[in-house]
Amino acid sequence: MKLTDYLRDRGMLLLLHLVCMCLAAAFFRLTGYSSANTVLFLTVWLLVLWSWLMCAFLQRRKFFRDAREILDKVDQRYLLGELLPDSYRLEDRLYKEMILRSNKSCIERIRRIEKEQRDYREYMESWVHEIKAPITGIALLCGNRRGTVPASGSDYLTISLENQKIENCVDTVLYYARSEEVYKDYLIREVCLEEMVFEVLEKNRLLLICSQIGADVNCRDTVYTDGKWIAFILNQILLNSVKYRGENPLLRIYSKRETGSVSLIFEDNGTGIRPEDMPRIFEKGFTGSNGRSNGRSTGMGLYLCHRLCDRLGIGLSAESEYGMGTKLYLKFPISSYIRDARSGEGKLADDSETRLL
Amino acid sequence: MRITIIEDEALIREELKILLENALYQVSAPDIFTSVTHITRQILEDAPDLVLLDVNLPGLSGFDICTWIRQHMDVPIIFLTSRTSPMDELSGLLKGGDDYITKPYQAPVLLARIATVLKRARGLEAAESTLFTRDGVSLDIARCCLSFRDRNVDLTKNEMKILHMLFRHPKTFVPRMDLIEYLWENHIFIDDNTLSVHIAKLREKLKSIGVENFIETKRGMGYRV
Repeated sequence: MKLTDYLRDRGMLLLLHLVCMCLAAAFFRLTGYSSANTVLFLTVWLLVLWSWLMCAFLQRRKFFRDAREILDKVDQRYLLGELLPDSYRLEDRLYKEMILRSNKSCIERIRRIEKEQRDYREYMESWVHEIKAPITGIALLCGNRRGTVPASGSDYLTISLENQKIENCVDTVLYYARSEEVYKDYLIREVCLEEMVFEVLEKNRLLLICSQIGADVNCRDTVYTDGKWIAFILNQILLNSVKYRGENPLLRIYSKRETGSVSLIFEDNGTGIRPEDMPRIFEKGFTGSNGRSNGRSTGMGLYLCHRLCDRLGIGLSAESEYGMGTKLYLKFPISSYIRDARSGEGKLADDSETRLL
Repeated sequence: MRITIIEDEALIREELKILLENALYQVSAPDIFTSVTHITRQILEDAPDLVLLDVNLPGLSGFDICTWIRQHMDVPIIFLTSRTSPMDELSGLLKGGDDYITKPYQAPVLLARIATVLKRARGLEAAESTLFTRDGVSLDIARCCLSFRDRNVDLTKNEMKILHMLFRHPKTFVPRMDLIEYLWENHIFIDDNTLSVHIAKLREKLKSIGVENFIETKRGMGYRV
């Protein structure tokens, strides 16, 4: 709040005083006071007015400065009504009351929406779990019939493939619903990357075999993370590679150990990503020129991966040469604590060995 | 080996039954889920070697049944469920389950885990034959080699797996698709063309030890030995 702004705001009051001063001067002149007395009187008047205005200004400035400070510090700004400093002024009290009422309705609305959203999310989750029963049924049925009824074996294979697609779509929904609250649903433990990759490849084996894709896996490293989420992320990446495959498709999945991290690199030789699309591939709903020409892209897969990786503290980045293939890097950090503990163990073992010798 | 399936979803129950019967287990699957006592009496009568237990049953919980079974019998239990949260998995294992598999499960994975639990429970390993012979050609899994009369040839892991599958189904054509799927289940992720290459190499190796026309090809059907 600036002084000039404040004075402009008090314009009417100043005008009133000016008019009064003029009237008083005119009155003094008519009643025959000396002009020196009139000037003295008006000077005192101005002085009193000025100091009063200054006091009021400083007070107001402090009030609003406090209010603003509270507003800056508070996380949920819509709670301002409760936190506004007390004031003796009627206007402030009235405003505070109104802000309180407005905030209350705002909070109620937020609560209601939050509850609706939570209910919806919970419903989505239970729905996903329900739909998994028929998906399992179809998968088992096709698996059993494929070997025993040779005539329609390929039909059952097609149904299995489509069923697998349904399962993948349903998974996306489940993980999208959960991605908001990853912290409620994870279990960090030692995970062997190779096992995770095997699991995902095995799950999609029909799709991969039918798409004539081979895979070369070499990632023996272990990391500390939640296997279920990693499996989902790998699954999405794998499906992308299948969707945008090129000639003689081959996947190379390998890990690299660096100081402070383990990287899992997922490389394909598919169509790749155009350089102009590159900066936006992790955005929600971004389909890119590949997705548009494919016509079946939702722009959700990589967005979800990125979001989950963020929540899990994994660095996800991509590298691609258009027409040559894509490399996706999953960088798992290794806590220095675990590393120290590990090397400590190693040292301990060394010690005992030397002692034995 | 007897397995009891407690699963309320009729389709899944029937298909699981077929799957397990194909894998040479004896299967019983009650289809009435009115009360815990009814199911538990059935389990007591069957005296199975393994129980596959669904968690969500109409009106009752698989966890309760598990608790009851644990109090009365010492039989391995595998939970089958569509719930995927770690809390459910934890409570499943705490109630005395031996394993926890989430729907939709992969048939080979399911069978492998059943076999593991059974093996652990019985404390013995089913000795699988490591030597196969057909028309004088013998495949030694343990030594990873192929021999005919006195001549030996070493095999790579991939070639051995291919032959293993063919030797296990003698006289029948094994479709390429099944063969590749079997390899994928054994973590060899090859495509159709690579399989042809491997078969060609195998034929060469067979020729080097004096066997010809051992692996037959039939277009659209697959391979057989």
